[in-house]
Amino acid sequence: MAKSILAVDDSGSLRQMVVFSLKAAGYLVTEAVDGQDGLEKASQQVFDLVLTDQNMPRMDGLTLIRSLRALPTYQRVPILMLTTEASDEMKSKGRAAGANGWLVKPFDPQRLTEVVKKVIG
Amino acid sequence: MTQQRSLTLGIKNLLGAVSGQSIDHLTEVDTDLLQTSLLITEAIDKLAASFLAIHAAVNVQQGIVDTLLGDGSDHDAERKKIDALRVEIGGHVNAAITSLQFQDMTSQLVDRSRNRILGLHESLTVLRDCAAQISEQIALGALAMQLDQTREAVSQHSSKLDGALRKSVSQTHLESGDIELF
Repeated sequence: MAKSILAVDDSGSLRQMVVFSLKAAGYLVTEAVDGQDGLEKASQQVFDLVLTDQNMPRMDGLTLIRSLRALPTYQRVPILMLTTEASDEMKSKGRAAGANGWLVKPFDPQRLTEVVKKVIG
Repeated sequence: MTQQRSLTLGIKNLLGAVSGQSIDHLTEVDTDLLQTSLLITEAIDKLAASFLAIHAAVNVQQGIVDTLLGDGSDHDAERKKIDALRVEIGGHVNAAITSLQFQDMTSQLVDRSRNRILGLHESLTVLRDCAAQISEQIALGALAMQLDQTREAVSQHSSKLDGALRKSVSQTHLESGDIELF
């Protein structure tokens, strides 16, 4: 059975690219338009992996990760950040919040797929 | 008109004109940036949709070619050429998808510029309000105090603005970014 991924990003075009890349690799991808939307969708279904942007309206990526880690069903689910933020300070904050990895935009579809495969198979 | 009244009126008019005209220009810059952002967003959405549709069509075409070549006849040379083309197309698709992500970064930079314009607009409004409050009969000492208070208010606006506008995009090229697993 195909693994499910929640892709959270406020940029419609970026979500299109993520969906295209991961679907081509055989994953089921659900989109969320910001952290709040992501949290609502994650509360309705347990995904195998969450891929989230940082800077978004209503709820940012770090807040989303902290909120997900507070849910019993998401304590072990891998969460990757996919963001323009590249500073060590932000990466440390992500790690402390519970992220399992940090991918700096723009992403290469092949490298993204390889990382996802490495994390969830 | 006394010299003092003339000086006061000059300062009042200068502050009012500089702030008023600057606000008008900033409003125009903000409108242009918003329009640019909307055009880029629409363009990239259409480009991305068309590009992905073309890629899907090429894949279907590829499947048909594979079927045609799979009829048992000897087409090794053609098959090798098509396989090489498939790899080449895949490389172009990956490069295009990486480049098409520019809108995500430029929109963040445009948003940051628009927020700075909004902050400057507020600072200039403080200056314009100060000019409007200056009475022609004001004593020089009181005028100096009012100007100093205005300078302080504008300065505070500027510091607050700097603090609120952290730069989230440092990329200067569209090369794919670093990956780190914790």
